Amino acid sequence: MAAGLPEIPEEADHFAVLGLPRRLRIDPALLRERFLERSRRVHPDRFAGAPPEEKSRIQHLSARVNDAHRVLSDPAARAEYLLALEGIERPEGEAKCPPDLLEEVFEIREGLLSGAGPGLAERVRALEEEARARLEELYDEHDGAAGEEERRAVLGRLREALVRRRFLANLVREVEKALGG
Amino acid sequence: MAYSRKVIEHYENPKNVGSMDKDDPDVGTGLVGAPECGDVMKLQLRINDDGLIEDARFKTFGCGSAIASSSLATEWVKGKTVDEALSIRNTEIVKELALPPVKIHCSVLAEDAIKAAIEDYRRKRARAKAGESGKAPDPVETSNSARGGE
Repeated sequence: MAAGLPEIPEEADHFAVLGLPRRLRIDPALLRERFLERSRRVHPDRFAGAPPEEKSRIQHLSARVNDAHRVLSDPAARAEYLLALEGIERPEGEAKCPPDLLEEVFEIREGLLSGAGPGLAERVRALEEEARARLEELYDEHDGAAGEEERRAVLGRLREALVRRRFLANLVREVEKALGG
Repeated sequence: MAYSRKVIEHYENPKNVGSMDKDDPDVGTGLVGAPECGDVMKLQLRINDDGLIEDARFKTFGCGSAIASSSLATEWVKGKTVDEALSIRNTEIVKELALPPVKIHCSVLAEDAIKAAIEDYRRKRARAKAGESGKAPDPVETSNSARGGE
């Protein structure tokens, strides 16, 4: 039954490990199905009698299946991963933050200090909601892109949208801390 | 996390906190941020016609290390020429404040803020010069560059 090692090429990325296309919308049921199916194939119990070398390879494969599932389960992590995979690096320099967002964040932080409380919390939540909706839009745009050039362009916009979302998530935390929940 | 004595000194008694008029032609403003931790840092420089930094102010929302890094940066750039200020490296800030590896990004932010402020100042200057030479910039360009310089 357990004859032969399941084939997962060393160079396979998380999408390939689970046999999924490089898309940003993945049906959670399909993701789970693939994960369970792959997990069974590389389950260490099936290789109990195998030579140590083979066992360690199975353990390695099992870890890769788990990693793939963990990353691809979270839409934002999935998007970050795809960007890295396609060589669209996360901006190193903090200066690459969108300037309009910096202005806004600065203003909100100043407002918090001067006690302009409740209105700010709403403003920040609205901004975060907006950022989230923008990401959702981009996921669809990416998957529906007409050609490779268009798809790459969407990935560029996605990069910025993810930075924005992260910044705002941090801001929401700060605001909640400042306003006591 | 244990902060170094120097970080605590700057944190408890930050130097040059405040802001300047960002529309002043002699003032360059650098606004930078770190999405990873949500820190934002504004650093402003008053630069005279000889390219000497006469004054510096900052306002930072972030952790103690970010505040200390910007406080130190303002102290260091005062009295320096623009070129000298541009040569300040974040590693020098790390060394002076004994920042741990997880706080290195705070020093990077301070270095970036100095650069952004000087860039802003130079942009303003170039624009003023273009104005003096008699060419009235077209309105669209003016409003765009004004936004970028804020």
